[in-house]
Amino acid sequence: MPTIKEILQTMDYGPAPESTKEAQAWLESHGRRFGLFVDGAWTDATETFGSFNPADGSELAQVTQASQADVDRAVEAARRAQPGWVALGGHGRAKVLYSLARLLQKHARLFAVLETLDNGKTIRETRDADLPLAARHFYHHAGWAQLQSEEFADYRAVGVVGQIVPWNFPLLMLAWKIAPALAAGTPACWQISANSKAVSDVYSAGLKTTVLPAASAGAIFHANIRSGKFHGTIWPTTPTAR
Amino acid sequence: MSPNLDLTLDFKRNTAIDLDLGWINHLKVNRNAADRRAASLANRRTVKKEYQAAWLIRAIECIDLTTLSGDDTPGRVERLCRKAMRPLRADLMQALGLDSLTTGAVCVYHEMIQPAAQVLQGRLPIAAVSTAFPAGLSSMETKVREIELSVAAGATEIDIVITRQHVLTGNWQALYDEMVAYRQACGEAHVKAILATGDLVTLENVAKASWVCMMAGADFIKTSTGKEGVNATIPVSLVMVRAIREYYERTGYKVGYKPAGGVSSAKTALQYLTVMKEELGNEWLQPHLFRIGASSLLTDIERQLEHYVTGSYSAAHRHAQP
Repeated sequence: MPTIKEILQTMDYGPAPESTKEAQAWLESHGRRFGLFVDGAWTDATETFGSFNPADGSELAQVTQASQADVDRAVEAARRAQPGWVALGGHGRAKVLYSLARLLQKHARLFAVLETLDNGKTIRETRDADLPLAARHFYHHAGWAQLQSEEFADYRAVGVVGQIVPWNFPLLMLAWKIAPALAAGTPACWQISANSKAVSDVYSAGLKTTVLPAASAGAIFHANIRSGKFHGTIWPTTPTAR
Repeated sequence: MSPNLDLTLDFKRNTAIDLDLGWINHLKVNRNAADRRAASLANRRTVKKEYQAAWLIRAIECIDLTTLSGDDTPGRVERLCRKAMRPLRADLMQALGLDSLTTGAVCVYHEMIQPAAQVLQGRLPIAAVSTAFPAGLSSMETKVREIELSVAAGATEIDIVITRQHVLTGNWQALYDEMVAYRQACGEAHVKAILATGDLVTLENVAKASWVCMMAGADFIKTSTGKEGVNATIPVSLVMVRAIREYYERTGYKVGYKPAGGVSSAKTALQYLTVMKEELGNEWLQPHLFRIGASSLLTDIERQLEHYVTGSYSAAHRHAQP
């Protein structure tokens, strides 16, 4: 550690790392082991794989690989939840979305640090872009939910939506996809890129405090899913996408 | 006094060059871009722990510890000067591993030069505000004579105020002539040109006034008197330091920068240091090219440094007032 006199010669900025203490403590408080968030509750962590910090290779947590049965259960839960979610009406759904946005903002720093640990992008990007934007998406679509009966009077909810969230903006893309779906009255299942699973688990944990018919699952390919949302350019080219 | 004397070896004092009206007239400032750059610039860097402590020490070394009130008395100025010579408590100095520390200068009205000189005994520069500060609307003869008297009384730095109407009416020749006369009257004393940016309305005026004053030989350009409605801001600072940078590129003269008024928190001071480092480089982090005109700032820096040393914050009134 340089002395103050030495720094006065160089006038360098010096290291200013963001503390990971709270994020690590959060992971620790969950035993660094996460099940799936299905039907409003956590499953036991069964078949797991590691989620690693790309900066130093350390393991952040063990996360669960969903099975076909898990996906079935998730989609079924979402289907069950849909009538109630639609019946709640635009204002009712907006209340939930607003609440999600506020929760995201309240815990913005925890999310930002976790996203950085998990994904490897800079804290500047997660703190100043990903998190504020993710919260804005929920606010924005909460607004649409409120206007739904006037602006989209003839539209009907399509059914359960399956969503794939990529690795590059995990939380932001998740917000980007789930917020409009929920606003429109469609429950959503999402699959997170295996490269960035940990943040989704925090998010799911946050969902427990709100009344959402959302469910987390490992994959989205399912006969009862009525609509799929993909991110990226895979749609016309790879068989997996089809 | 300057911490890095080796860096100052090639320093040569700015001398007047011809007024280039073509250059002045072509100056443009993109207001939105300046605001945007200012918003990200001041907050994109941070200094923590021992680095923050060192930067705050540097901020102290760059302070022109100022009292410019109608009710200034020799007693208040004496207290200010003693504070300027020992800005930090002895126990803090020891904990920070420092042997000596002073502010950059003290800044007072003409009448207070004498009391200040008696206390300082040449150990610290005395800056005097002059030319009918703060409005600058006396006769030219009075203003030049005021500079001469201040220099004779012992001021080694003179903070002059420009005549704002010359900027507002676009009379650049008049501004140039006035500044040249002030610089001449200062002689060996360094001259800081106060642009009163809060009165100049547009950033373009700020840029043009900066250029005219530098062309006329100003050693420093300074934002404000502290008496305008709006004092130093980051966007205004950005425009002024960019002018300094371009002037240096064109002429080889290094002109100093002094934000004044409204810089009262340690955090703000660090933002200004960041602006200087990012836009002009390390040499402009030293008192011969960077000053902050302030008084209560010192107390806040003391509080932060005490927190760095002890881990606890104290109330401002626990520290000797500047």
